[in-house]
Parts: sequence; C-alpha cells; structure tokens
Amino acid sequence: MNADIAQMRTDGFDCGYRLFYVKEEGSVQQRTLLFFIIVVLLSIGIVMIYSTSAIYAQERYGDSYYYLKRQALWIVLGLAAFAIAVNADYHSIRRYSHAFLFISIALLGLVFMPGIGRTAGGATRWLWLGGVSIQPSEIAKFSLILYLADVMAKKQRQIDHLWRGIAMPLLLSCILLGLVILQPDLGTTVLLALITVIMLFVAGVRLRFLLPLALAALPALYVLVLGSDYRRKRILAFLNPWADPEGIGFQIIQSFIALGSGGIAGLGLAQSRQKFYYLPAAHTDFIFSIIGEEMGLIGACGILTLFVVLLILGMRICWKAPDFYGHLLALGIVSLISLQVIINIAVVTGTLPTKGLPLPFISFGGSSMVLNLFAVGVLMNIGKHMGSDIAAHSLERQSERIVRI
Amino acid sequence: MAERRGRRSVQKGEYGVMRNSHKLKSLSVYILFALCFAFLYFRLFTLQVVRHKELLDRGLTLHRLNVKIDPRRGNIYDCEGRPLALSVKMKSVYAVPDDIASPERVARALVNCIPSDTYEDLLEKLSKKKKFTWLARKVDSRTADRVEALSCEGVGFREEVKRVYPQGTLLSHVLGFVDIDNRGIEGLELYAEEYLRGQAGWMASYRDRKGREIMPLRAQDVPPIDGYDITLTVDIVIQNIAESELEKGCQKFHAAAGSIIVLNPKTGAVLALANWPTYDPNAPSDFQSDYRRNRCITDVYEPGSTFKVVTVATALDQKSVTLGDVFFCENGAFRIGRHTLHDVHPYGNLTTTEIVRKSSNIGAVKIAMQMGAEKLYRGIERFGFGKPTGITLPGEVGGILHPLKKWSGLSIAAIPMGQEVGVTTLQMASAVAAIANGGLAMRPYIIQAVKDSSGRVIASHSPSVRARAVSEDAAAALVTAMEGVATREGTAPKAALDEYTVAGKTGTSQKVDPDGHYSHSRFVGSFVGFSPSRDPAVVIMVALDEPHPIYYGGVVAAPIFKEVASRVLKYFAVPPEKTDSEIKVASKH
Repeated sequence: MNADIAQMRTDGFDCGYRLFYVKEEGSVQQRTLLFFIIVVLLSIGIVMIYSTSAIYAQERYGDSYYYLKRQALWIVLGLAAFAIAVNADYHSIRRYSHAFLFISIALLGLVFMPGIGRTAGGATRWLWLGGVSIQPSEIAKFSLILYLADVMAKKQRQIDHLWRGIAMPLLLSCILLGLVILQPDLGTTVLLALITVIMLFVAGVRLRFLLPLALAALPALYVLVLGSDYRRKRILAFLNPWADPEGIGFQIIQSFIALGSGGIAGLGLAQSRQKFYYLPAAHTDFIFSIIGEEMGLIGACGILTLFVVLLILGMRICWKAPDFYGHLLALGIVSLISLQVIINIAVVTGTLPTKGLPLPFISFGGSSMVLNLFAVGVLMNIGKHMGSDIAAHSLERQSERIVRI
Repeated sequence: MAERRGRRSVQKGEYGVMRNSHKLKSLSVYILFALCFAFLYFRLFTLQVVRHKELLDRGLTLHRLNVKIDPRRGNIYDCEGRPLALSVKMKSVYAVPDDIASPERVARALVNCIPSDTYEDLLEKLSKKKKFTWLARKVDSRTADRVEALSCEGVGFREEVKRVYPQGTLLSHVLGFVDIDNRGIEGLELYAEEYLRGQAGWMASYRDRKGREIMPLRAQDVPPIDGYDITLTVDIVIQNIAESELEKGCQKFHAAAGSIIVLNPKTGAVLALANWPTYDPNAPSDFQSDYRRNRCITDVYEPGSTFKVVTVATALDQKSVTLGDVFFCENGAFRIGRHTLHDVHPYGNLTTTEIVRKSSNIGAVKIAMQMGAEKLYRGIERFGFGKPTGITLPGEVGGILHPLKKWSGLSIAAIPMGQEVGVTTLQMASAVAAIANGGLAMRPYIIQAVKDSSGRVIASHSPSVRARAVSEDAAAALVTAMEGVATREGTAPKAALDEYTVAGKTGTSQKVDPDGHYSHSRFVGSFVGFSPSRDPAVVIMVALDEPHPIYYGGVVAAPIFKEVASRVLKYFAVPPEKTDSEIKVASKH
C-alpha cells in the first residue's frame, strides 16, 4: 500500500506530502484563537469606524451611523462568506481558480466602461452596481492567490521550464497587474506583484527567472512612481512632509500628529481631535492613526500584535497544510493579510509613501472586508484539514483522479 | 515508526528535498514579514513615545481653542443709583470664509440684513482666506434675527458685551467711552479701567479643522469675574440742569465753548460737571475730537477778575488789609513802570469790599502790593493753583503758576487780577469752594463708591481736607464782600437769586492772541459763586469761551449761575432765606 501511494504520487498533480499528515492536537484551539482574533479586530474596527466617521457622517448625510451601518452590513456579508469558506473543502474552490481569475480580469476591464465604472480622487477603482459599489481589485487579489496556488502546485514538475512551466502564470499575473495599474492603483499593484513574487519564489521558480523579471520591472516601476506629477509629489511628501505641511505633506503630518498625540496610553476612546477633519481618510486608509491617537502605543501595538499572532497562526497552518496546494494557498492568504497590514501601517507611520490600501478587518470598505474574511475562512479551512480524516479524504480524491486518468 | 521513515526516504528521492526547500522558502518569507512587523513596532515607538511631546504640541497648536469669556464691564451709576453706563449682551455676526462656497451669494443675502456694510465690504470679508472674520459686531436684535433667518452656512453668532450710555450725551465728558473691545479710551472708562474691566474668564477646549468648538472635548471652564460698579457723586438731575442751562447760555451769547462745575463745598463732591459742545459716548467717532475734550480739567485759561477773590482772601488772611481799608483807585488809570493799568469804570477811593464788588483792577493790585509778592504767592499755592486737584479723571492739568523767583516786576500788577496765571475751571471752582467752606479746601472727588457685582462695597470715598486755604475769619469776611457782587452795586446783579443769598465773583479775561498780546475780541466770561452765601449748598463755576458780541462775565455767565443755582437749591429743598415780602421789597428797589 505504501508503495502504491508512492507510485500514485509520482503521477500526482501536486506535491503530495499531505499523505504524511500528523494529527495536530492543538489545531482546534488554534482555529478558535484565529477566529477570536478576527472577531476582536472586527469589533475594534466597528467601534473605530463609528468613532472616526460619526461627525463626518452626521454632517454629510445627517446620520452619524451612516458608515457604521454599512460596515456592519458588510461584516455580516463577510462573515457569511467566511462561514462558507470555513465549511467548504478548500479543494472544491480550486476547480474555480481559472474562472475566478477570468472574472476578475473581466471586472477590472469593466471598471473602464463608462456608466458602470466610478471614478473618485483621480482613480477609477469601483464598479457601480445598483446602489453598491464594489472594488474589483479586491477580488483580483484573492483570485490571483487562488490561481497561482493552483497552477504552481500543478506545475511543480515543469517548474524549471520557462515556457511549459511559468510563462502562462506570469502572463496572466501581468495582465491582472496591468489592469490594476491602469486605474491607477499603484498600492494594489505593488501588493499583487509582491504576492506573485512570493508565491513563485516559494513554489520553487528559479531565481534566474525571477531576477530578470524583477529587473525588467524596475524601469516600469520608475515610470510609474515618478512618471506622473501626482505620484512624484506623493513620494516627495513621504521623503519630507514638512516641506509642504499645508499641501502634499498634509495627510502624513496629520497622521504623525494623531499617532504622536496618543502617546503611550492614548487620549481615550472617542477623544481623538485629529478626526475632526484634520486627518483625511480617517475612517478608511488612515484609521490606524486615530486608533493610535485614542488608544496610544498600547492600543496600536496591541492591534499590531493581533496581526502578528494572525501571521504566526497562518504560518503554522501553512506549514501543516495537508498538501502543497494548501501550503501555497495559505502562504498567499497570509501574505495578502500581512502585506496589507504592513503597507498600511508603514504608510500611516510615514515609512512608505501614501498608498490607498485599507487596514484589513478595520478600515471602512465593503469589498475588502468580504474578501479578506473569505480569505481567512479559506485559511481556516486549510487549518481544519490538518485533521487525520483529510488523509483519507484526499486519498479518495486522489484515487478518483487516478481512476479518471 | 520504521514505516514512516521508509515513506520519508521514498519521498526524499522524489519530493523530499523540494518539500523542505518549500518550507525553508516560506519560512524566509515569514521571517521577512516578522522583520517588517518589528520595524513597525519600532516606528510606532518612535512616533508615540520618542516624539510624543513634540507631536502633541504640534497638534495642540492646531486643536487648542482657548476662548476668552468677556467679563461684564462694571456699570456706572449716579449718586442715586441711576445708570449712566451699562453693559448689555448683544450678538455679533461672524463668518468662516473657508466654509462659504459662494461668497457672492452670501454677501448678496446679507447686505439686506446688515445695513452698516456695503455689498463690496461684505464680499471682501467673505472672500478672505481666513477661518474667522467679523461681519458686524454688536448688532441690534432685529438685525440678528434677520441674519439668523437666512441660516447661511459659514455665518455664525457670538455673544458680546456692548457698552451703552442710556443717558446719551449726559455727563459724556466724565464718563468717557470704550472701544469695540470694551477697553476704556477716555474719561472714567479710561481712568477706572482696572475697576470696571473685571477679570476675563476662559474656556479651554478644542476646535475642529473649521475652527468650531468640539463641545464634548471641552476641558475647562473658568467663569469670568465681573467688573466693579462705580457710583458717582454726580446727580443726573443737577447734571441735566447744568447741561441744559450751559447750552442755552452758550447759544444765546454765541460762545465757542463753555464749562460748568457744580460742587458741594462742604465735601468737595462734584455734583455736576459739563462742557459744551458735547458728544454722545454711544457713537464717539461721530464727533470732532475737541467736542470730546473735558475742558473743565484739560483747558487752562487766565481767570481774570475771579482770581481777585484769591488775592483779597489771602490779604485778609495775612491781615494786611481789612474790609474797611480804603484804596485810591487812581480814577481808572494806574501807571506802573511803563505800563498803565486800567479799570473798566474809573473809581476814586474804594474800600476792600467795594474793590471786590466793583471788581477794580487797580484796587486789587494795590491790595496785593500792600501785602507783598511772597505772601500772595504762598496764598495762591494754598488755594491749590499750579497743581492738579487730583480728581479721578484722566488728563487733568495743573495750570500755570510761575515760581516766585521767576516773577517779573510787573507780575505783582498782573497776578492779583488773574493774569499771568493759568487755571482750570475745576481749580477755580475748588478755590471758591474753600472760601465757601470757611477757608477749608476740600479735595474734589467724583467717585462715591466702588462695588462688586453682588453690591459689596470695595472702596468708598469719604471727604478729605486738602489744605486750609485761609482762616475762617478771612473766609467769612470775604464772603461778606462777595455778597455785594450779585447786587445792583456789583458787577453781577444778574446772578442774584430771589429766595437765596448769593456770594460770587465775575471774571472777564482777555485771551492771548497768537502774537502774544491780549486780544480785544476774544474773551472768557466767567462767574463763580455759591448760595446760600452763609451756609452754601452749592458752588457753581461757569465759564464761557469767546462769547460775542457781549462777553462780560456778569452778563454772559452770571445768568447761567442764577438759573442753575435756583433750580438746584429748589431740588435740594433748601429753605428760602428771604420771605415773599422781602422778595417784593427787593424787587421794588
């Protein structure tokens, strides 16, 4: 039987070490902890959304709960997506990897259709669908991970081969990136590029393929970063915000003031002063600054630590994934969440130039909320499959496949 | 166990290496993430702990909103507690230009409500790149209501305290006025600023980016301490009498200006003090600045014959003359050196009493010469000339009294009749009040009491003796002489009262022309006197500046004295000294 299995694996379409699963005693507790962290982050998020948006919402819509209500609705939707993802076998999504990718590409293309696409702040990033606006780039993030995990697991044997191995995944990734960059959304593009590189690297793509690719991207990056006036100004603002405190450096300075005012213990919940129109995007991309102002270093580091624990739990799931597909998928999801957190907080602390990236589970934003929760659901599902039953289950699937072959 | 090892070895051959390298590679990715997170902790620590103070301060300069709460400026009342200056809460209209999308539209809407501003003015204010600008301060409630009804975005109200003077022009020179921020500019408002102003309260709060207060974050609220109220010695009834009679007199005799002071000789309290022309402290900028001058204390003039009472009182006090002493008055022309001194009417021999009554210049000079310059100088000093009286009003001057060693040979022929000396009407009134008070000079004062907002007395003035000017006997003797002035034989029969005795002295002094010579067309006609003469209730000083064509003090100023004195004595209900029959007898003569 052992030999059989070994034999099967030689024909296998993925790594196959999932068969050597060792039962994890603590896996249930870990998943509970993971869920608990998500719930805590969502709770902080909902409180802070109200705290940061109430005044603005009252003035603009005459309803201080305007953003709170919407965010609550998105959280409910997101938790539904989460529940589905947790309970459905993550292998079942795998079948739709290509479909997801092509839908994403289609939606990203639709953004540029007049009448459907919505432009705000000089960027066309939203689709307006009967009262709700969705952000296709959020869907694209997840589809890319799904697709790369699938294809790179499949092509393990051709991994060293440029044309049969990695040409197609690279091409499709580039199309996705290209569409996002056209919006323009440099932040998401960089995020997607990083995720692609990470997943290709871990999947075993030779550095001699990756490095030239990275070098080829440099001129493009240069043009994109310094090519347009608005981006160049953002970079300049990042380097020296105090040079133009009323203009381009305004937002980052206000973010500094918010965080700095907080000190160690913070000014207290709802005591933020910067949220009174000083800090733009206080309930979306810069919500962390207000958290730092109201809850201080303790609160800010607390949230950072929750994300670090999330990273560790994700990493463990990734390592203990029953198959290489799961490993890559978990890696992609953990990278997605962690990179968004890192970039977002780096931006609000002035470590990176201003990018329009939300803080997962906390910032206001529907598409991001639903997709991030869905992604974490998938991650938890992978964690669930660390149980012994999965071996049999996978075996079953494997044999099915063999029979089909 | 062995079985598992076996599996692994199989795997090693085909996938084992790959599996470990995958794990290693993903581990390196996670380590990279962990390093990023570590750096973020470091960044947060830098911003929130290391730079906490700097950034907090930077934020506070943006956020802090320290609103000063104006105290209520103290009120000013007359001696009976009738209000002369009040603080009233009013609304001021301001704009936040940053919040106004269309300044043109708002300006057009507002111009119909705010009458004081033109469309262009408003547009300019509304287009400023500022977070706050006043549109109209301290507007009446109708204007405020109309602006409020517009409910323009970016236009708001703030309550401010406005100073109002309910009596209008009455006592304006004493009261003075304040600027738009309620700081005293003139008069008592300036002099008693410390008492009236009070202490501002303040509110420590925070503001949003548009400059509005964030109410829930208000940190501290210190209520203001209201200013002290001031009660004056002035009685508005007397003040009213004085002002209306002065104005009538000034207009009748075409005077350029006039002053009147009513004192209580026994205490030194100022019962009325007025100048003409006058102004309305509610709108001081509508009047010329010389209308706003308190001439009674700021303007110096040569007193002329009224000063003879000082000369004669001093001579009587020094016992160098008696009332009965006879002086030869040179038939109206007295040569001293190269100068000739003239009397208006030529006289031969006159007693001291007659010199006062007829106001003989030659007689007064001869009395002074008999006494000597030094005694005269000391006497003038004792009456308080050459120094401010110390009344609690701003801008008082001391007048001109040259020191003895600077006197020329002719000074003894000029000073006794009120030339070569400069006095204020208040000094003159105060000097005569000393005679009325038996020789005892009281310090003139105008502030009766200072009270806090709950009515507790903070400070009060009790009458104080400044100096003994002359002995009681000398004062009494001079009063007898002065009683003759307001008779047919005297220079001011028009000052005589029907029911009361009057003691007084006229003055008609030439003003000095720009070329340094005495003018023959510009005079100051004055009268100073008191009544009843033996137990005076009031001293009244009247001076008219440049009356024409008639300018004699006995003609232009004495009637004003008479009117004011009779009305004030009636107001004080002083029992008449002369019975009806006596009046009839007197009027028959």
